[in-house]
Amino acid sequence: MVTPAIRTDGLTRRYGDEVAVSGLDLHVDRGAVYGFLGPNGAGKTTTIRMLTTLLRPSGGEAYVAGADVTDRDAVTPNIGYLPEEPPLFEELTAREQVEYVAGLRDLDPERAGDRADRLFDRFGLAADADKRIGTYSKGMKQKAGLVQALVHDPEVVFLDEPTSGLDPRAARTVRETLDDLAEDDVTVFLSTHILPVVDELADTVGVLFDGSLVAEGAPEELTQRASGGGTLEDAFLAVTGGDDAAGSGDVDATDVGVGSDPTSGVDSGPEADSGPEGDSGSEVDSGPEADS
Amino acid sequence: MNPPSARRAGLVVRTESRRRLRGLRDAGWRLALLALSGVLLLLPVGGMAVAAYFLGSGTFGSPATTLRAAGAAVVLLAGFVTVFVALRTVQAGDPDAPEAVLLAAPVRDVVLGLAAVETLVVTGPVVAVAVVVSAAFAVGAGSLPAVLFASLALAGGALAGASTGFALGLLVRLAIARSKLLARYKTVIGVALFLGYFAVVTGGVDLPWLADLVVLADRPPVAWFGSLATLGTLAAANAVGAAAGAVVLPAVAVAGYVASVGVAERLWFEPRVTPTESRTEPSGMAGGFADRLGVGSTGAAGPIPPASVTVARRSWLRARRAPISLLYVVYPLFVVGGPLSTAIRTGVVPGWLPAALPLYGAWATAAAFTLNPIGDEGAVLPVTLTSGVSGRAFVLGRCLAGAAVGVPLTAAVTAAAAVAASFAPVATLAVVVNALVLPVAAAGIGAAVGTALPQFEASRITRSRRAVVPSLLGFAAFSLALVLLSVPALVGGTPVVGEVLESLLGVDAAVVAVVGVGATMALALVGGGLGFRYAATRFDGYYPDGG
Repeated sequence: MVTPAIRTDGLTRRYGDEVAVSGLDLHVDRGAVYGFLGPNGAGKTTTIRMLTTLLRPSGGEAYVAGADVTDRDAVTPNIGYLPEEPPLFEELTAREQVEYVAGLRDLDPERAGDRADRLFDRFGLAADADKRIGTYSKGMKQKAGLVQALVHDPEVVFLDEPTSGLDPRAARTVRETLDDLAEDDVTVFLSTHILPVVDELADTVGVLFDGSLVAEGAPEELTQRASGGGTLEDAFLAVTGGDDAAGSGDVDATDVGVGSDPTSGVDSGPEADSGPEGDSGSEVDSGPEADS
Repeated sequence: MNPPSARRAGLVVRTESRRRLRGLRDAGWRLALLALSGVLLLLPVGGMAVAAYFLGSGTFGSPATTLRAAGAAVVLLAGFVTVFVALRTVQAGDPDAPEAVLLAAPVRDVVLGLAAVETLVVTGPVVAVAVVVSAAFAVGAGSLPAVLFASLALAGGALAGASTGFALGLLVRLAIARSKLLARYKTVIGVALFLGYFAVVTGGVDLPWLADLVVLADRPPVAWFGSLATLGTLAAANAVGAAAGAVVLPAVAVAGYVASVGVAERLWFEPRVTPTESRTEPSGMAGGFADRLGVGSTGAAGPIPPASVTVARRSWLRARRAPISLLYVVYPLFVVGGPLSTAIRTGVVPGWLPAALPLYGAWATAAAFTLNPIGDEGAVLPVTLTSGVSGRAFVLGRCLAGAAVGVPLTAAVTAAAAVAASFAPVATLAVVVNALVLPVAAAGIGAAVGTALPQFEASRITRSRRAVVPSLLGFAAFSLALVLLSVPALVGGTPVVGEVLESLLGVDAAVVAVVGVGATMALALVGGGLGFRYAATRFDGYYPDGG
């Protein structure tokens, strides 16, 4: 049996009394593109940070590339991560930045340099790779962050809004790159609000709402399950509680739940509007980075 | 725990050093401040070298005294470095771009790299000083090995201190990350820590435990460090003790490192408490400011336009939420920190201080709020320019924000200093009136300079924070203008000058002070008024994209 690229069983993260991610069960095959959707504050970034070992889970289990996420040294060589705000040093050039991270990863300098050059070239950053990142536009930073996340040829890539700030041409390049990665058997875990990107690329879509996975399936499956055969946006709105744009109310949330489990429809319990990042006007524990 | 990788840690050190050097080069004013600090340090270093020379030559007493002093010096140095590194680590102890760094290298390597950078930054100059002092000691003692062993002991003390300080700094960060109470009051804690930092830098801390330390210097482990530092120089130095000292200092450094890794694992991979701001802010500085103006949150105070009050309140709110962005305002205090802390500790106020305080108060009042009014708007500038607020109301609001605190504070401190310096009543009145007028005028002058030379680019104000600060040219032009118009008050208000003129011309010293202050006030009021008018006009006709 092939080990899945990502597997979680009951993955949970609490911040004090608040539950950011609740009993999450995921199964992502190797080489798949998994579209991870959810409204702001749903727990997407918290989930990604747990899967990338940057945040300790409060409960449950998670394995990435076959390694337990509590074993950071085993997981990190196999993953690449581009958070919504690319983690870059403004005082360095993009080439210096990538060389630095490649050095920390113990990569062969020559091979890493060649791969970085190819990626710079691919993203149209070759001419600016020796300029300081502090002079870059948002889109250029995004591209530099992508090169950094891919330079070590990871098995699993976590991308949080990778097309944010990119012009249409660059966004297209990113989409093509993700497609190529998937063809090379690289698993892509993609969190974004740009639903057409997910619709185009994702093999499977999971929708997180209030810390729980409320819908999962192939994009066409989700849209088909939505009564009336709407768009992915309709399905998303239906399972996340917004029904105004979901085809005049003809989408039934229970129709697009996780698998065929009738109990996994929309959770409209008391915590529905009180995610950990919500502004309750009082002190709350919150993750190191707000969900987007 | 697996042993760290020296290669990876070295890479962190090289990259961090490169970043910091580039950041320093980009912020010219920080470089200038650093150079000034270096120059100011020459004097105490020279004093230490002279003391070390006489210590080495035995002028100060018996070999036993030298042994004790050497041991105490190592411990003092370690303590100083511990406090210094801890304060720096509390301020910025996390790796930048953590998602890139922490996923690419094990925590133990990142910690070692960051701690090594801090060690280099802090102990680099300290070790250089230690070598100079050790060399002076060796020359005094007429013994070459003294350079080697004294340097070794001092460097070991600095290394142990840096490692311990890094662990302590991370521990304080962890406490703030976990405690809602500490997180809520971290600004207050930050100010307290800064004052501690200031006290350490200016040497204004009473050290009553120094006497205890000298007593302890006869016992291990302090005695071991004394033996290590004086090995080969003093016959009284114990070789076994020196060996023990040579083991203990690195052992403390390693223990500090191991503790740092443990704390970092808990700090960098766990969520932090983040107290949210309450939606309504009827109290606090912003509200208090409005209260001082005698207005509510939306009302006007007599001739003060409501828009000015709004601008002032907003300026206060921003300052309260990001006080570190105004850090540059206190930097000049480092220059006068020594005499100031001496005056506070001893109660003896030098005669020049009451006359100089209004100058600093005025400088700080303007520098904080009016020296970059347009650039400080940042991304909001287009909104402000198109909001309909007049230049007069906008600039007035910025001036009010500074003056509401700057004027009373400057006047109170100046009055207290004048009384403590036994100024004559007339001279006291003169400097206090100057303290009331000069900050107001400075606000207008600063606004003129700031609107003429707006700065939009953010500068690195600490290792981890960037903020939009006034331009270097703006600082220079404003400071020069303020100093020039303060010359009459500074000259006339200094008792020595008054006494000289009294003896030469037969004019009463108090009259000299009053005339000097009067001249400065006249210049200031004219300059401030014109500056205010220019700034308002400039704002009204300002186009962000030129034109």
